[in-house]
Amino acid sequence: MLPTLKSEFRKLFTIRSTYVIIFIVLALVALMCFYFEGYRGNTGSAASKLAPTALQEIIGNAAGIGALFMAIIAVLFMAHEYRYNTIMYTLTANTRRTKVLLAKAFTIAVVGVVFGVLIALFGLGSYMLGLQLRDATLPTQNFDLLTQLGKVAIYYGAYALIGLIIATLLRAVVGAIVVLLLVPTTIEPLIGMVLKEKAVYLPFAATDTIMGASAIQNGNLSSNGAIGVTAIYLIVVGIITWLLFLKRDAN
Amino acid sequence: MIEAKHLSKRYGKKQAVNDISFTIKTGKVTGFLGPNGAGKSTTMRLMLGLDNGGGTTTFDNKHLYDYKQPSKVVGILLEAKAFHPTRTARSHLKILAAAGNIPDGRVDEVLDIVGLSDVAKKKPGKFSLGMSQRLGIAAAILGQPKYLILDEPANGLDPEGIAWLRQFIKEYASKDNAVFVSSHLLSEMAQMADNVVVIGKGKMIADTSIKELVSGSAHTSVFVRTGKLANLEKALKQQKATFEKLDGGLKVGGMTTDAIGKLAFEAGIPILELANRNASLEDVFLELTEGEQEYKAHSQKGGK
Repeated sequence: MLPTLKSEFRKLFTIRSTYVIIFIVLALVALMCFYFEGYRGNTGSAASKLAPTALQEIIGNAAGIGALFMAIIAVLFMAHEYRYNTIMYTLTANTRRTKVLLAKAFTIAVVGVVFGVLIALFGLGSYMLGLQLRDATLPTQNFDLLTQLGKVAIYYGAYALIGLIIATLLRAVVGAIVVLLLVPTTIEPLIGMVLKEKAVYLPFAATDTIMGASAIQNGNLSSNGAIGVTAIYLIVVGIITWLLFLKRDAN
Repeated sequence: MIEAKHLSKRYGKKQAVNDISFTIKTGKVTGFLGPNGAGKSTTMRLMLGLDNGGGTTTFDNKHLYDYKQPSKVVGILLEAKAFHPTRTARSHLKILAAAGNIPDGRVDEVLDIVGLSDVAKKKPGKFSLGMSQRLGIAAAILGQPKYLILDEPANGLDPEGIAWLRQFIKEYASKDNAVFVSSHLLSEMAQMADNVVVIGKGKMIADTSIKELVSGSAHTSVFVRTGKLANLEKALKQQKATFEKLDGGLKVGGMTTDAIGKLAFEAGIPILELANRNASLEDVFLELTEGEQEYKAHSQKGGK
């Protein structure tokens, strides 16, 4: 298992797209947290108004910016195996497909967790720097850093696994990215018009509720509840994905 | 020894591979021949467990999944361009080395063997087909496996590259290894392979040595030239031999040079030339796969 893990980590960090996406996320987070929320302070949000929940909001915003990008990294990580047919090397170097899929899931989840925490901390740091340049001082914050970072870690880990699952099921880069972008922004809100407050239990809505960032706002699901719902989705769809990964031809 | 038994694969209504069994002997190069669409690539993928289908393949009596380090058992080249185009050649091989638990130091060794050391840090997206094939061969031999399974490795190689590949494959097999290689370059295969497996439309046609395959062909004949052609024709007719006139002599089928020499001697016919005319592998291949082509071109009619 260790050789496979080592190989999977190398795959992720030896292609340009991983770094390009990380750079884009950092740039967007800096723009939002440093410039608009910290330095300019003109968005009308709790963070720009220096409210007691400012830091909590900044972490949520920073996390929200990068989550879909994390899923795209995961999509490219898996779908490129099929696009460039390197999957045949992967599955002959380790003929146990379950181990291969577990190694991929572990790799991308770990990277997701680390990436999420780093983005959150980068967002906080950017915001504080912006405040300093604005000469603004924050009031005492009603906020538990570790709890927030824990949520971010779970949120990013979940998005990374969602990306991996979609790519493993569809095996196509474009198709997987289209699904990833279309479902949370269009499909789920449309279904939400029918399901009303229960729409918060839809996969992406539930995952976004972990950070309180769901586009569907009228549900009654706590952050911990959202973690549970997301976990159930990941386990159920993950099992289907695993069975198909075993059953299908390599490519 | 690799033993493939009853391999089969169906895509919907089409039986791509139909109950194919053969063996690949250690120390030998085994060629894998068949027309386009015969099922060669599918067979190779079935052998490696990449496709789910019927049958089993064992490598020294063990399934590939029973080996802890499959990369040290079998090296593969199934597609020349199987790499991420923006990952450097060295990084690509390092990933494969890590997966196979092979030391990173081996990467530079194999790059040197295939002649790609100078482009180790280059992204292979812009590699020519020949360079891509060399990278694929480097990947295949990374774990110094006992067996190599190569699908059309000569595609895109220049004449020097083909000569290098031929020599490399023969040497590799001679070191108590085995190479299973498919190719459309039949003249190359004739020079390279000891044994040959021929399939057509997913079915087994032949599993034999090149020598036996060629000698058993209807195209293999004996050419004989004499000053007394009519006498020789008469003698051959008495023996019920088949022959036809060719280049001032006779092309005789179904008889050996020894038999014809003896016949002529006994009939008092002076022989001026007596030689075997072996069929080429191409002749035999076309003979064996007649009617087994999945895709067949037709001659142009009514051209201007």
